[in-house]
Amino acid sequence: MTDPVLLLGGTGVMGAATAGLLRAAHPDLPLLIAARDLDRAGGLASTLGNARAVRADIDLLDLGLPASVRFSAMAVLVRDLGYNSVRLAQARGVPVVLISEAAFELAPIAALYARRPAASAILMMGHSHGGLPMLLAASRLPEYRSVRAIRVGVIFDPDDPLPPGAQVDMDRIAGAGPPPLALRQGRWSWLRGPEATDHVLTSSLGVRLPAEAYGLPDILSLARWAPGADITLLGAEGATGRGPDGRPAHEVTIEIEGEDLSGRPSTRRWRLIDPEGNAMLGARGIALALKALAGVTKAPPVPGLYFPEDLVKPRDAVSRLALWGLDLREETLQP
Amino acid sequence: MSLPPILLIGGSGTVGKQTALALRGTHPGYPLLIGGRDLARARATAAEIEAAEGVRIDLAAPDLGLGDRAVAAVAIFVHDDSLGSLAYALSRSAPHIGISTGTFEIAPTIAAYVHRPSAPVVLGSEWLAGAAVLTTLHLAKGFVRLDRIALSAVLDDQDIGGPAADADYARLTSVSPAALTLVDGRYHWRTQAESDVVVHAADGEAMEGFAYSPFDIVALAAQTGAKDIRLDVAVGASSTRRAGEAYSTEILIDLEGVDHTGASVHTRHALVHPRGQAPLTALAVALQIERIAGLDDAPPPGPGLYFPEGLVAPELFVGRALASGASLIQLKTGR
Repeated sequence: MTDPVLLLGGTGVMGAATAGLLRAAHPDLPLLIAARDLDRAGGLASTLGNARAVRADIDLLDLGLPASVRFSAMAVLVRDLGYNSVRLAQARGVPVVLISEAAFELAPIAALYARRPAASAILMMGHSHGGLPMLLAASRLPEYRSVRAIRVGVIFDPDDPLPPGAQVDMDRIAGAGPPPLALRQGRWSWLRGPEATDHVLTSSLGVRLPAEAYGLPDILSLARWAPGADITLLGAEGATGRGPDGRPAHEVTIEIEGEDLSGRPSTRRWRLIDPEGNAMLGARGIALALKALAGVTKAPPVPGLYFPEDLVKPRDAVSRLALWGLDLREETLQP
Repeated sequence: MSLPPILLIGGSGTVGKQTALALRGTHPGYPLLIGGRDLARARATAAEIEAAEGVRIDLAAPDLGLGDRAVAAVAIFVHDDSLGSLAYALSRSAPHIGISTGTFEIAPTIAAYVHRPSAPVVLGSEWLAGAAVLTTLHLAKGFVRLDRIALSAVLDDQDIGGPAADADYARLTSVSPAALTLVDGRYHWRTQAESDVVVHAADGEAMEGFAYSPFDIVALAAQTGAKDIRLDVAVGASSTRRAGEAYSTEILIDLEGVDHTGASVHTRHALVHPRGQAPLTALAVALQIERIAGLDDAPPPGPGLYFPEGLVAPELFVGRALASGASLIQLKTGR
């Protein structure tokens, strides 16, 4: 029998959404909902089916899990500032995905990895929305011969707030972090003052929204394909297109400037709208990565340090989003 | 056939040149390339060192300006926002070591390795390239459990680290004024505003200091499991200069934990080098280069991310540091 996938912080907004997506896509995949509050975890587990609940505490060295509790992969959906989660994954030799770290926060993970490189696959996925906006941008890069700039934008509707955990991450990053990281003509740059805040994203309603740069690992991943480009991740708040039920949606925009395959200058923009909001888009990304990390349909990755694009091909992310009814649509840009 | 040389970028600088001399002492005749932007300066340095050749380095060129000449390893003593030397090393499967990266700046280096894991990549940017961590791990052998590690460094203001070190310090503290600290098992970015920092020098003098976070914090957290780890730096007159002698560099190491008898112990040591910070840094880098290039006759390590303590045994470093004139002194605790 397969050991379950452990969702640490599984009762939170992201955890419950991720669990629901995994359950719907893989009815046979057992889930282990781990949380401080066993009653809540139990409630979610019984709703899901083929799931168990267990009490876990990130402040304890082994998270408080007895050795008899086995699992095949771990998703850390709460902010674990002491990394007992990674230590436990390494002790058990199972893959682990972390979703909270901005680019400037990767050092503790690198140190744990370097100490025991053969223990676990560690996926660094502090990207926006489980890496999906980054993968969407990457999916269009083969249409370019050379890339001068990539701008990935995320637009939050004021009526679709970030989940509490994600808000804590954003507050911590804004409070203690350095200015946002971006790539500028191949040089790693910390954007200051207007360089960070003087940006615009256009909503699907045609409204130009003030936007600011986010220093998340999306930049690092995209630099793999466009090492000499300007790469920026931007966020804005404003009214999004509403779904049929009137709920606020979440929007992702991808803008790429460069030369197309015939060498002509090309500036294009695409948009993806998730009518279920920002948390659901993030959960989709996490579910996709977790499926690969847990080896649900093919062999799990060998121990190592990974970014999402190492485990999920951009075109596979696009196909999976299409199955959820989400399409990346190109827009005509005003000259 | 001639051996491929070791490339030292910034090899004309204070630490670079001393590293070259340290390698010259242990491996006479092993070819060295002294690289820099200024060819005349690189050649002038190389002329003082047997079997060394000066070369002009262009960090923006994929081949660094070296053509297709092979190198055994690359060490860079200056900061490079484009990571050109790392990309060059990985493209040739050559080991690379850098010592000028702040903890918050680590992400692009990690990403470069993850994207192309072809060679050892050494994250050498600990205090004096590993001098503090290696000495701490040496002293930690007296403990069965370490709870708290407090590192303090005294840099004499006459002990010029060279323009590269000055530029690092200015960049690191101006971009990100917060320093990573482990507090009760959780990472925390500590700012100067939170509390005044006082460093007690080896002679007991209280000096005004500041929180700083080279990779020591994450390295020691991964290696020791201590729950409280911090590093503070004071710049001013060192203890020896206050006593009327020449300047020195000081690393004060406070350890609290439990020893082999089960007793709670607090120890305090000072590693002091009478010729300042450069000889300790150069020794640490030289030992790491010897290891990654396989000059020590052991099999060279495979591709991976390494911190200094993953390459150099603490006893080896401490023994060589003492032989080079450093002293490791036990001090009274309980001030």
